[in-house]
Amino acid sequence: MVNLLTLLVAGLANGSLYALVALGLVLIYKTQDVVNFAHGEILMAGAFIGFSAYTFLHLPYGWSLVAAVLLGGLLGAVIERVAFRRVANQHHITLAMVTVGLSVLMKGLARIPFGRDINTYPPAFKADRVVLWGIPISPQHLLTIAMAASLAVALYLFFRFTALGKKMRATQQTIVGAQLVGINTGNVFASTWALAAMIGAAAGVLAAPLSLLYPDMGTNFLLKGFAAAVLGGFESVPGAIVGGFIVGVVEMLFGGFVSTVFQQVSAFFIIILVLFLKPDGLFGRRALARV
Amino acid sequence: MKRYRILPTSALALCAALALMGARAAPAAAEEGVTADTIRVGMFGPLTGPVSIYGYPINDGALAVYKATNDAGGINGRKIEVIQEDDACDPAKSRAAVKKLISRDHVFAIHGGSCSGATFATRDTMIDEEVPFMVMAATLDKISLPVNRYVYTTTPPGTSDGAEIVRFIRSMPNVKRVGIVRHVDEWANAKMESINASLEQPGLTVVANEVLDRNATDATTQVLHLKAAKPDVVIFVTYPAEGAVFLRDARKYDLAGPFIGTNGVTDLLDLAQRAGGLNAATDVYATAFVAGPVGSPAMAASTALLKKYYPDDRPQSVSFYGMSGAYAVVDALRRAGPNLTRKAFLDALESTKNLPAGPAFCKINITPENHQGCLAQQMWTLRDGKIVALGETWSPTNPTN
Amino acid sequence: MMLEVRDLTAGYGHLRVLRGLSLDVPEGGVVALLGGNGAGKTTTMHVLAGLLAASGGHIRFRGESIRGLTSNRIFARGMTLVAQSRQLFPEMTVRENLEMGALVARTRREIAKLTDEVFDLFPRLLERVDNRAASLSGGEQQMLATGRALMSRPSLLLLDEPTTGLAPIIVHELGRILRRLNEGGLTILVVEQNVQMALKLADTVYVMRNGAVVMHAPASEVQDSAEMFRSYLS
Repeated sequence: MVNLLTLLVAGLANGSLYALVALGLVLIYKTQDVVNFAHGEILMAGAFIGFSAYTFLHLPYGWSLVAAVLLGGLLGAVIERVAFRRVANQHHITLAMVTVGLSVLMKGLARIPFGRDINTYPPAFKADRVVLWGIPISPQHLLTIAMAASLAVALYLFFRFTALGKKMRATQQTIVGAQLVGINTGNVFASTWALAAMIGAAAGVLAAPLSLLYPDMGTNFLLKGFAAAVLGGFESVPGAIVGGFIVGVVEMLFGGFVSTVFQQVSAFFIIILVLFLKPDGLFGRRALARV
Repeated sequence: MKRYRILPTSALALCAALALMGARAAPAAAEEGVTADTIRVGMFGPLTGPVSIYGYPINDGALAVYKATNDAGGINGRKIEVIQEDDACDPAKSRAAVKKLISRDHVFAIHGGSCSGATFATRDTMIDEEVPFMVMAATLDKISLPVNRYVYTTTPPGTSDGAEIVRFIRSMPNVKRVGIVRHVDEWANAKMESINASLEQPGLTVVANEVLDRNATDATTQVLHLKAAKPDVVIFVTYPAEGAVFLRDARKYDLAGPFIGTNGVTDLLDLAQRAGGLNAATDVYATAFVAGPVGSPAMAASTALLKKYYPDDRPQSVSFYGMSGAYAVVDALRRAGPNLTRKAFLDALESTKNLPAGPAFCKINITPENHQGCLAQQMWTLRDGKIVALGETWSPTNPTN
Repeated sequence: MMLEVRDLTAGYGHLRVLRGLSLDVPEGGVVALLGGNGAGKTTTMHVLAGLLAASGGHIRFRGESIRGLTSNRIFARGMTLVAQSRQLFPEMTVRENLEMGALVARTRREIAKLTDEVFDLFPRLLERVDNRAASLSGGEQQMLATGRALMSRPSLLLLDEPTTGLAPIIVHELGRILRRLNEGGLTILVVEQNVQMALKLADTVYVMRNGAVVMHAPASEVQDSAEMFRSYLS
């Protein structure tokens, strides 16, 4: 019989990555009312930035992660300014198509330098695994869980106590209202994209050692993060985190106790089930009007 | 009014039809795609999209052979001119690419196709248009089976790869319980078909049969299921990335080998690196279509050839997958003589005998009854950080473990 | 002059709404903008607050041109709009909404002082200080929207139909508070459909039709001829 605890730990480890991806999706959705289908490519871009900084510029591992997060954030802000601001008032289908276009574009651009090979992103730690209370877990997974948890706390504090965080919350609730209290909503949009992209890039650097590095690596994570976000109600930051963990664990339990044949699609069973039974998600207040 | 309109329209259609027939009948003087000093060959493969990672190296290997042939003076006074099209590994696009090569570029023959689904989708077009077709690297059996006058391959088809794997397992002592982890797609299914068929014969029992999805980044459940089933040997029918994920998690959860992979993971060093180092790839075997590991003496000549024409390509096993077909094409063109016709070319192909296949392990043999020119493979494993060729069967003289 | 608007034109896409609007708001004054549905009153307010770009004309606020400035710049110069739709932050509490209105105030102490002033004006808001804005009644929401606008200590307050849909007693109360604010030195430009309320509150009234001003006069002069006045609004 397969060990339940081992499955739970592996599920939480994978789920923490899905949670980070979901966070980025939720932030953009809350502010701009659009599902960012290019978020997987932001993850990919972050991973390649970190990889380039580490292998070509020989930056220390930690600094290459910092470089990925900062440049990832810059990329997010540039995308908002260049590709999004002009069309921000268009129908949400148009906006969604813009993100799909961005996704294709970014994959295409990444293939120019990186399309001829699958690269390997070294993990943060040399050790293959540690055994905690009899359960084997890789240090990379521990790092991912720790990152997801601390990012969740940091985001909570950010939205609660910082001026920019409050402005973002205000803009998420009503854009006109935010303008009426003197908030530069353009800056808020750019900052939101930057923040979402920074989280995405961090997720990319954490995911790459597990998934290998290639221009299409983001797609799978986007789908899982999407499932997590739907589960969490798509409007809720804690919902995204919890949703991510649930998707990760359900996947493992499904594969472990039912069948590996449907393990990967179990995430989509979750989406369908949630939309069917509780369309607002576990944490949602409003109905999911648009996807 | 309307009734009279029909007349000019149908007259026009008749003229057009006649013109088309005339156009088809006219070039009987010279064979399609052949001029006094050129032979036009079409090529297609995944040059964009996720699989372009394999598309370029494979095509580049074949192109290097053609370029070297041209630089050595060509074939009977003619140079080979290659026209490349992208199929993005997509059946709709591969059909379009092939139609373009045939009807617009008027190629003499086509050498291409590295994705099984996309390549199979072109088989009927090749046959209908009577264009000689050498498959590049796609392994799906039904591309080249049943035998057709126009379709050839020098890549071992999936079933022969699967059969090779089981043959090797049977040659290992004390192996009874077999665990399997596999993808579910045409590529993997073709191999699984022959693996399952070969395993049905007595002596071996399948104790676990796990699915690992494409792009999976985790193989925890698969590994735990296998571990619980206590197999003597594990067959993994996966691509390199997922194979690395599987081996990484096997190590994490103490699942012991031996692990036998397909020729999709021939690059064992690459696989080991992706899985997290040589430690992760102990007791791992894979079938190999090429004569030796990249960098070994057996590959020196082919590597030099690739480097000469594609200095930016990193030599890897797939870089050599397209070469054997190119050698078969060049050899048949040469033997077809200066008066080159498709019939002469096809006759020459069907009489290919013991042709050295460049970097491939096999010798190419094609007869009118068998168009799968290259069936022999060998088994590789890693020893002390180096790839070692074990031959076609396990033998006690090959040190295992 | 606090605000001078000359020949203002604006619209949405091909639809022209403002067709050469001109008006003046003197410092310390209360100006009411009247007009029927579709006259362009709300559009005027949106253009003034920077929510909608003007296509022509001039807007001078305290002597400087502000046409083309973004809403946050106009806000920073001291002009704040209370929108007809109120645009409160529904998930935030009454206190948080007020605090968001004081983004230009830097210190906690300043914010606390401004909040207390608003609670002085609208004691009702203090009772509901920790309730979410979405849970407030229409009258309370209007008070909160006005209070939030006052948090920035504007020199010109724009009010877009503040009394629509409110009970008469609350309309009366709001009128009283606005007058008190004006006596304290606040300049007010208010769009109203309630003519009675507008005439009681304003020094000057402007009547709009088809995106332009068709008449303006001191409120005292039209006080007695309200019937004539109404004909413009129909």
